[in-house]
Formats: sequence, structure tokens, C-alpha cells
Amino acid sequence: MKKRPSRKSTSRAAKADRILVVDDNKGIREIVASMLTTAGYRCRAVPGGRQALKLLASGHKFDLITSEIGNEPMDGISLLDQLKRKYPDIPVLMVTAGYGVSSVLEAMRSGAYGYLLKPFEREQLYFAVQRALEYCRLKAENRALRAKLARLAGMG
Amino acid sequence: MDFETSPRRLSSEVFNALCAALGYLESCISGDTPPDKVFEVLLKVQEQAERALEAEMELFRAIGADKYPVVQ
Repeated sequence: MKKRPSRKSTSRAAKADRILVVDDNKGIREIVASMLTTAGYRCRAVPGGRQALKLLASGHKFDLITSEIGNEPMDGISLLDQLKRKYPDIPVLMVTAGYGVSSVLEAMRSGAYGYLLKPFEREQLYFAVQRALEYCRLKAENRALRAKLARLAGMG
Repeated sequence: MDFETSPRRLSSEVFNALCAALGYLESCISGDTPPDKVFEVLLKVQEQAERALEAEMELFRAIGADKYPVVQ
């Protein structure tokens, strides 16, 4: 969220990826969602884990979720645990203050795809998001290819 | 001490309000904010800066720093 030197490297390619931003701080939530929307992502932002789970349960689909670790009343790690149980294919990026490195380790152990330390620059956000989405796409592709291979092997 | 006034919570409030203020400023500087919305966003910067100050003062009280005289 610091001033960046140039916006030339910002990818503005049209993306259909849907991202859910979970942060109990209205300002941070608004800024992250606005940065992602500017980059072409479809974004929803909610203040807490309960609202996030409610949205998912009601059928809304997301390709990526970003969540603040220190959210209240449901902290980011608890949300992550539930997401990993119910929606294991959605990558989760954890966001926390620069001094919260120890909680990042816990989040990574619990299955977070990656993390961002605040204050972060716009390019760091885009890079982390793109990497997480790419990882998921490759995973899905790998799964599909394995299934195809298994089918072909079964035919022979 | 309840959660809302715990030093940890207040410290996080200060940090987040400052991050948000920086983020809003960045959106003005980078040109993401349309010219006719800049004033509106600057008011948000002000709101966040005030929140940071407020939380900092609460934090100061929560840690009891206001109860002791400053020794020169």
C-alpha cells in the first residue's frame, strides 16, 4: 500500500477470476477490493469469517479468498480451518501486520497458500494473487489430465 | 480488560488505520481515483488518520502510560 514507482507493470488484463476479501477493517477491505477491481478481478468484500462462510454456503463461487489473520470475532486461522474442510480447492491468502510473522507460520501450517504482510505494495498483492490463481489452475489441469490418463489406461 | 481495549487490539487498530490511510493516498496519487472523487477519498484519509490518533490515545491509556509522570 506504499507509493509505487510506476504502474506500467500492473497487469490490467481482463480476468474473470472472483476474489473474496475478508477484513474487519473497513478501510483495508475497501482498498484491497478496489485494487483488485482495478486490476480486472471480480471482487466481493466482507468484514468477517461468518459472512464469508455464509456467502459460500449460499452458492457464491470464488477462485481465491484473502483473509486478515487478526479478524474478530472469527480470526483468520479459524476461517482458514473451515475453508480447508469445506472448500479445499479455494486457495487462501492470509494478510497480516508486518509484526505478525508468527501467526503466518501457523496459517501456512493450516493450509494457507501464501501471505501478505501489511503494509504491502499493490504489485505485491497482484503478484501473490496471480501466483495463487495460477497454482490452482495448474492443480485443476493436473487433476483433469490424470483422470484422462486413467480413462485411457482403462481402455487399453 | 476487555478485548476492545486490550493493547493488542488497539495497536492493531493504529496499524490498520495507518495502512488504510496510506492505501487511500496511494489510490489518489496513482490516478486510480477519478479526479472528481479525490476529495471524497481524502476525507477517508482524514477519517483513518483520526482513527489512528484516537486508538493511539486509547492505547496510551490502556497501558497506563498516562498514570506516571515523565522523569526528565
